[in-house]
Amino acid sequence: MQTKETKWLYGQLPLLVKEGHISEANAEAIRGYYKALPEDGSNHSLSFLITAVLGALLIAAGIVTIFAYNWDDLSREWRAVFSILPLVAAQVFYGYAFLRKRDSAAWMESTSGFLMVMLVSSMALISQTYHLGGTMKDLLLYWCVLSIPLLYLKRVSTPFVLFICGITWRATLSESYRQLNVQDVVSYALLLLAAFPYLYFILRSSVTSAAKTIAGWCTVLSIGIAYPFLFSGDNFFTILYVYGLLSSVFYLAGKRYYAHEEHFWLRPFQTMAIIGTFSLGMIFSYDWTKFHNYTGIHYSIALNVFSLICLATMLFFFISAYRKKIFINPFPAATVLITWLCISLSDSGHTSISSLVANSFILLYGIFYLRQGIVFRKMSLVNAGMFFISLLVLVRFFDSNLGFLLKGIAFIIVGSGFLAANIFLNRKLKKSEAQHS
Amino acid sequence: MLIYLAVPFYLIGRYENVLRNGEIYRFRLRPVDPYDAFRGKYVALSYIDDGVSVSPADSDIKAGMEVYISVAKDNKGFAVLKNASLSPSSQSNYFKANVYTEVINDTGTGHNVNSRKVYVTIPFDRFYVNEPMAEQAESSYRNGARDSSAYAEIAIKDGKGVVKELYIQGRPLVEYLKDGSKK
Repeated sequence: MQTKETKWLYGQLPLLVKEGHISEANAEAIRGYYKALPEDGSNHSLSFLITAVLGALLIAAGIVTIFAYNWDDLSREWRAVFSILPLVAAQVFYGYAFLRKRDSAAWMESTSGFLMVMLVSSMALISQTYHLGGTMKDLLLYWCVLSIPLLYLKRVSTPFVLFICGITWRATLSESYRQLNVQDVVSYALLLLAAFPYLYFILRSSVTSAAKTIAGWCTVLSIGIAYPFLFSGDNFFTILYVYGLLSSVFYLAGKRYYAHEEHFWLRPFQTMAIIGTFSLGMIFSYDWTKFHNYTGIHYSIALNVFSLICLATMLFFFISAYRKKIFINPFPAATVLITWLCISLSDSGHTSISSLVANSFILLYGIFYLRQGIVFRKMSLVNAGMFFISLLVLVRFFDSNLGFLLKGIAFIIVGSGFLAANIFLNRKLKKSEAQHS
Repeated sequence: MLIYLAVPFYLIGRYENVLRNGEIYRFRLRPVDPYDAFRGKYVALSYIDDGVSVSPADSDIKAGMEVYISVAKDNKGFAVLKNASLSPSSQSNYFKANVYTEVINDTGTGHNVNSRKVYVTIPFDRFYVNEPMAEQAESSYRNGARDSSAYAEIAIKDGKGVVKELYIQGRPLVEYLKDGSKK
């Protein structure tokens, strides 16, 4: 199946051969290479796949809801039978798909999703039939553990997505505000590790695929959401420091696995890292001692070990990207350094210097994107740069003691400047593209 | 994939074994009620008698620990929590429970440090009901618990317990509700 990118490439090959940049043999080799690449599932359309998965999940949800109604007219024995029947049906469907339709992504995605939902439904129904206790956390734990084999029997996305949703949901139920719940942290980490081989296999593919994008987004969102719930007892600056670490790690990991993706939604690691970098920069641009007497990073053995692992991982990905001559944006890569610096400065009483560092960081980051956008003729980068700088300026205006009238005039000037720059640069880039083509 | 069938079959077999072959105890109830979105509506069960004495040999028992509760019956067939211990009893039925608080008895005749009592969270904490009957079940249970006519029948065997039935005024809950709705 030809993707948009391969169609474009095939269209370019005759021109490249004609102009002598590559030989006809090279062109044939390139065509052969992309045709030989394994597809993500067999021939299917994405819309059919999505509807198949959604249909299966909706049917499963309907069955769960009906069973939750709790049929008192049935004896306990019949209720026990009905608690297993959906699971048996799901097994039959999955078995059929696995044996006869293994190459169909629609079949495998929908039946595996259906099986996972029926599994948890069965467990919940048995609890209901026998009036068993236990919490939602327990149910989610058993469900996730039992679902691990489904991640690997046939590598499809739906079990991974449901699995990640399950472990993330379970992490949000952790009550660790007063005291760290080590069991919850360890179980989340172990469950995430159980999915890592699947993630690694998907990420190392150089082909853009929905599975790779989905896996990336699920992973970063899960970690980003689970962390503050699992460590809700940590102090403010410690949480920010860890987010700084994660931003740098995600960015550099993204440079290894999503380096050649065109759009930001196809680069989950980098996108979340940039959002994290910008958010942290904006947070530290404030002088926090005005609001609260925050203490610095609470270093513990676990945090130190985690920091070392992250730094080692960052170094690994950095070297990997450097060897492949992949461009590394220094700003998101250095997020952890800036975060640590700002926290250290704030904690030692130099809050105004910390604020200055953060403001300078965001300003320079914005200017960097502006420059990159102009040099590489990409309006998206120009807009990102303008957004960073404009928001910084606006937020500083909010901070200042200027009156409403002046603030209003400032907003109008900044907004107008934003639009004018956009229009001007857009025209310039189009003119430049016309001259080059 | 057989594990996906083996696990529910095993669970059902285990609980059916307790219900059919376990000894039945009646536990007196007091009222509460939450909602579990995933597993349908249930009535949360709270027990009047949740305090149990601890022998001097088990002085290490503290709040937050899991203990084994030996259980017997009084002359009316209601459960009596005999003793909390760190090891299961070989002479009577027992179940596991978590200690939520401990009290050292002061009998008033002098400080008696050998008499300790702990209060435990009895694990049989819910009874699932039909969605349309849930509200009615809740109010019947509260009224029954208030006038001490509500109790749960629990089968216990080899340390495992399963709620068999919830009784209001001597009748199973569903039967009580159906009779009530006909009037």
